Amino acid sequence: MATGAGTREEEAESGETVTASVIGGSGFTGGELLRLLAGHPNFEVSEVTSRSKAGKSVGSVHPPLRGTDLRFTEPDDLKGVDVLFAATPHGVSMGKIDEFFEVADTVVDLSADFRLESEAQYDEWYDGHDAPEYLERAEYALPEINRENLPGAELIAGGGCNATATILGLYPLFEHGILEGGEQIVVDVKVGSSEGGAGGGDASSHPERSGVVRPYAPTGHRHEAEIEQFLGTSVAFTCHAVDMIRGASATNHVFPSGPVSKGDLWSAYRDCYEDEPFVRMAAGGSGVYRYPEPKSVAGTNMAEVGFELDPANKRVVVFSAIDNMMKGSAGQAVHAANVALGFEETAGLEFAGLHPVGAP
Amino acid sequence: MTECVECGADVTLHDDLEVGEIVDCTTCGAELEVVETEPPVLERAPELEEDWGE
Repeated sequence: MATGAGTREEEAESGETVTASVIGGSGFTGGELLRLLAGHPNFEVSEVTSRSKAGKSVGSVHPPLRGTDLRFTEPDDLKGVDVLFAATPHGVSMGKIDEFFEVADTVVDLSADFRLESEAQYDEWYDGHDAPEYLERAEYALPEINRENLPGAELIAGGGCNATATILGLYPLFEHGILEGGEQIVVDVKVGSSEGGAGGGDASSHPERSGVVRPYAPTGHRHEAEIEQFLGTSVAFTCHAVDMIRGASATNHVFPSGPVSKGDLWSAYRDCYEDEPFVRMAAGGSGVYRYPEPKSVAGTNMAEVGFELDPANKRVVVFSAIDNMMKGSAGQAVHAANVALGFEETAGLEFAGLHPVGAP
Repeated sequence: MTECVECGADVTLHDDLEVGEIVDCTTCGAELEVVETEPPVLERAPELEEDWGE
């Protein structure tokens, strides 16, 4: 149910402001969503829910938003809006999706609840699915690989942060036939502590988390399902928790079956990304930051991708770096919503980052 | 306009180009040295190498 006078398509064409709510707004990605929407020319935030923070000001939880007049509300009685962003933990949105569509025309879900295409995948990789009838209606949020299906999408499924980094790194190799699907691919992703969310836990407490280079989910990580779905092949995937707050940095070791030149690689990556507003290439250029680096993209919606050729080992090593809460979550969601609603793709996402900056 | 020797992208050059000048490729970020001007010829500019593994 839209609160505006026109349909979603009419609003997009006219460039009018649409209303938005953020469900689960007290978490880290909820805060990032609110930061982005606050600076977005086409969104007006009308409601932010949080059961644990109801009644408190948004600025009391998210310091950059001090001075705004928004307060968290209970999620039980949602107002009608044009776009509902759900930043709730995995498993929540699938149980409330009917309720979400009763109050909004467009739902953008940042969790894993609608990323995969089939109920069988959720049975294999998660704990099943409560609303499988919605899976075929969902569109994956990553515009670089799904832009053509986003305009007019009603249900947008945000990609996983580690999957996003991996997919963006490897996608050009598949698009240009450098990889065909049968090759060995080993992916190692270093991740920051914000991937664990605001809730924390024993492993996330500062004394335990500080300084670690800790393997977690060394095999069988859930994001493998997304990577396989979009690249068409399985990857050997391992994550390390490292001592940063923001960031996912993927190192992808691939072994093409045929000869590959540096020119082949540049052709593939330039063709896929040269015109993308939120992907930039860093592959041995000049200066200190010659390869993708989470510090270079912290706070931005930018992904960096780069590569190096290792002829002696018949290997190509591909690097990709994102801010997990931005390109890996809230930024990707806003980017996808911009495409879906016909807004300027870069609207609300222009922040270029900081340099120098400490651990992101 | 000439091609970057690193990534093949077009590199826009200004009119009063001089030998020895360093230009950047906006696509891949490589620093390129102008070694000839008529016509323009670019080579990868030398980089200070790092080795933090020693």
